[in-house]
Amino acid sequence: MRRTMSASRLLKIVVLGLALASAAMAAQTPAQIGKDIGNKVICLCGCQTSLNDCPMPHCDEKAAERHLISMDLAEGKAEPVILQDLVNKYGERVLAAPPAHGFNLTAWFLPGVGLLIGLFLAITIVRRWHRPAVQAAATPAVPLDGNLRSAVENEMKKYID
Amino acid sequence: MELGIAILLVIGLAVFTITPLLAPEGSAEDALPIDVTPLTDLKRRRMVVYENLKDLEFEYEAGKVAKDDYQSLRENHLAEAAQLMLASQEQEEITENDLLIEKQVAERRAQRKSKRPDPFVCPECEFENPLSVKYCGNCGKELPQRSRKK
Amino acid sequence: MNQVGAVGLIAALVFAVYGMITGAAAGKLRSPRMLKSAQRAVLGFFAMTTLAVVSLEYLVLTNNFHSAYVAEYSSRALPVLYKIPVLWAGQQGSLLFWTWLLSIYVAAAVLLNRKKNRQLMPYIIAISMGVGTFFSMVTFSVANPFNELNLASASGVTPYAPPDGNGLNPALQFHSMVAHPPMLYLGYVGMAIPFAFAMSALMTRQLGDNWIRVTRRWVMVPWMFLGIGIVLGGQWAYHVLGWGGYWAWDPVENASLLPWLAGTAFLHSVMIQEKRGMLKVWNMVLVILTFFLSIFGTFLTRSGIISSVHAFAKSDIGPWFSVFLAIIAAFSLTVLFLRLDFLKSENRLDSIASRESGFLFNNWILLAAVLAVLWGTIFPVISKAIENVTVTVGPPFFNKVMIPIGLLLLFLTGAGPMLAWRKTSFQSIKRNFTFPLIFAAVVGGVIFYAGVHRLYTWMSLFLCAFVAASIVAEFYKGARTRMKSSKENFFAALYNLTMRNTRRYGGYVVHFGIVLLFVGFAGQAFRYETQGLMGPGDLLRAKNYLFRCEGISTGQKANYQYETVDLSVTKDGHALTVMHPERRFYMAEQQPISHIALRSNLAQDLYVVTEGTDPNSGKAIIHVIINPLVQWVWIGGMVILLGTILALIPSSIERQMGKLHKDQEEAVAAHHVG
Repeated sequence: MRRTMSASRLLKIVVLGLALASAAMAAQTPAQIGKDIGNKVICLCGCQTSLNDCPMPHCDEKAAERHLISMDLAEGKAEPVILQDLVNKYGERVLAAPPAHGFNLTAWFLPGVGLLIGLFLAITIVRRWHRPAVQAAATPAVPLDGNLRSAVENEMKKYID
Repeated sequence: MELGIAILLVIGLAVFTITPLLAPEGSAEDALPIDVTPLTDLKRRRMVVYENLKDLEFEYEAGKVAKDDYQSLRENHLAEAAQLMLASQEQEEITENDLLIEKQVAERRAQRKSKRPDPFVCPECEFENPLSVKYCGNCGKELPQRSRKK
Repeated sequence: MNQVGAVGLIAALVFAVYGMITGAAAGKLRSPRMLKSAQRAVLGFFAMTTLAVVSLEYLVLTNNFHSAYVAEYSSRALPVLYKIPVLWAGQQGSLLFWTWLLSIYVAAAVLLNRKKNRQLMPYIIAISMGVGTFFSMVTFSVANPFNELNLASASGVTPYAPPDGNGLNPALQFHSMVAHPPMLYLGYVGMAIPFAFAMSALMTRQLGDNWIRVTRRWVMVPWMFLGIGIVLGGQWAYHVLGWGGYWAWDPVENASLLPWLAGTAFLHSVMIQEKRGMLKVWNMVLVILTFFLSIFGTFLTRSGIISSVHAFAKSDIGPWFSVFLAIIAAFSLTVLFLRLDFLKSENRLDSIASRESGFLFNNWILLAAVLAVLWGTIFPVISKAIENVTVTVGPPFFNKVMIPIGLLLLFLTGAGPMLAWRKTSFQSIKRNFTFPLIFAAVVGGVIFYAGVHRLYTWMSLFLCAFVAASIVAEFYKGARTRMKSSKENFFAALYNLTMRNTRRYGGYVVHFGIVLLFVGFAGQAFRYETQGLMGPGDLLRAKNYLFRCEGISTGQKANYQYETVDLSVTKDGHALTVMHPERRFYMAEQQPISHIALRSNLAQDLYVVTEGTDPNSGKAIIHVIINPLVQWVWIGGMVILLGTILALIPSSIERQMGKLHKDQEEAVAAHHVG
């Protein structure tokens, strides 16, 4: 009873959380969009970090990318358009994660496929192990007569405190 | 200067490494000792079963295992231990029988040997070594030097 | 000293080759004499690598810039503390360091097994010296740290020593950076020993439970070092890189995570083999995989095949490592395949609701994590090779893929230990899950009310509460059970319980550390950042903190110039503290670096960086980050370390088995005498 209560409550909370999260995503100021983009592209100065995280001071690459983003933002362009502009200028490597199309799809799908294959394997192994176990557990191989049982129990007491 | 010391060190270590190979044949035991003897292995496996049994009891008391399961699993574990114990006893009997047979063989040989002393026979356990060795292949006692030389 | 180091290097190579061959021969011929000689070769290998390391350190400490390596990575002004890490700052030195650590591990294995595992030792020496041969060969031929600088002119070659060296990368001149690489390397290198044990067990067909019990410890120690190394690396990134984070899914970071994950999988599944004699082939695969990933990690770090902040080295060791990795894979899988018949499972699974299947699923998730991280790390190379397009696989990819996997793993961390071995009743599952679930639901409700509305963050904290409650319940129930049976008071029962089965309860402590880590990770969702130009008297607001610039001072130290911004901080209008973020310019290295100002407590870190002065206004660029819960990441790391140490203390069954071994020895000795 208590279990079902907590489960339904959990579900409610999850649904609510999702709703709120998506609501929060909807309304964004240009500054926020700029920041989001800064996390989605990398700085090309060689630091290999995202544009927001580039630790170099006076980084020309960073300044150039930021400039392009702020120009686009000033024109009121949306996030996908700005990202496309960046890709047009610098190539796909500017994106912090490969876009999900073409060959790059494999980057995104392989971990999931691996997860599923692993799950399938794990379930197969569990089932294969499981089946013949029934008889094995049911019939002890040695009849446990009194002497043997006490010998075993004595030895157990000796070893295990 | 430093280079000379370093090279001396290298030579010293090389000698240190090679010397065991130069020791006379048969001066050490002729095979590497066994890591876990069959008897010890059986004992170890029993201990694992006891440990599992202990865990089972603990888990039962902590309320993780149902009573029926507990009882059947417990019997199961005990049977497993009993089986290992029987195997252990068999193993011991085999060893004892081997010793007995060896002793009989040795006695018979000793009778023969009283007439014709054999340089390869161990004075301690009267085992007849197949080769001239420094230590007895059966009991590991050092054989008297003169009997070896003959 | 250059020649002395070179002599050490050559001799180390010779000893390694000799040890490998003699070890293999000793195993084949079962010859104690040859084993003795091989063991001595291991000690010789150790002595010679030590000689090489000591010579290199001597060259560094005496500022001998005639040595190419010292001129490249050290300088006169470098403080002595940072001259020690020069040893592993460069490619050549770090490979030498790797070889030296390997020699320490192998020598320790030889000395600790003087009387034990005699049958296994020959091949253990052969395999580990094989690894030693590879590393000393690479060090000697392509990455020799003992090359000298010479000037070639018309009159011939003359020795040359520049007046000063290039100096150490200033990013590395930081206290946790002194310990980070050695820890990481101790982790990588140490995995060679369990690999050697596994191969030796296969080759000698000694596949009982002896080798796996011994090997488990040899995995735990490097696993622990690897973990320390990873956490120290995060700390270094947090304090030095100046972007307020500790993990960036950088290829080299990933490279250290991979063997850690594989080792974690092994440390779990090994329990099934010890207790139930199952999963024998799988455990072999995990040992091989862990070692393979360790070498792969070294390769990634050192070859520069994937660009990264860490991959300072771009050189020609790539092909060497590729061949070596291929040899490892081919050799180990062949040996494993030839011995498959000896690795039959001894038992069957009694029930799907059991600890065994819990471990199986844990392994599934951990291996999926390995695959995802590995794939993301090497994808740029694959994409370049197949599509000829350079792509970047950065944090957005890994966060998207790894957060769900991490949460699943966190759930199993709590759920797995609640299952009993062999068979768990449904009743007990219900009973055991009730308290943690209720507790987690309450915590979940509270944090939702307090404003945690992001799904992943909320779930992470919810699961943290669930796992923490389940761990506390495990300890409590265990202690209660023991109190009843042995009439002890609660604390005595708790202590005895833990010491009797250090592995289980040490493991729970490690799990608790993982919970704290995830609490710290969840905090990242609430990170707040702001930035401003500040001259004397300027103000900057960050949430309820107000920063006021009191002045900017500049000056010069032995090896760097600095520019410090003095900021007074008030919180909710009350004076709180004064902070001094600093910008340093290292002269020998000609590199700037930020020295952050940090004020941390358990709730949050106040993280202030100056990026130097803005050329137009002459004001300092100040970056303020409010980073909640970061401290819990470091605390979690400490707890994991403590739990690991606890689990390394022998449990009662291990003590019993040790006694058994002594009995056997005595019996054998008695037999020999009598």
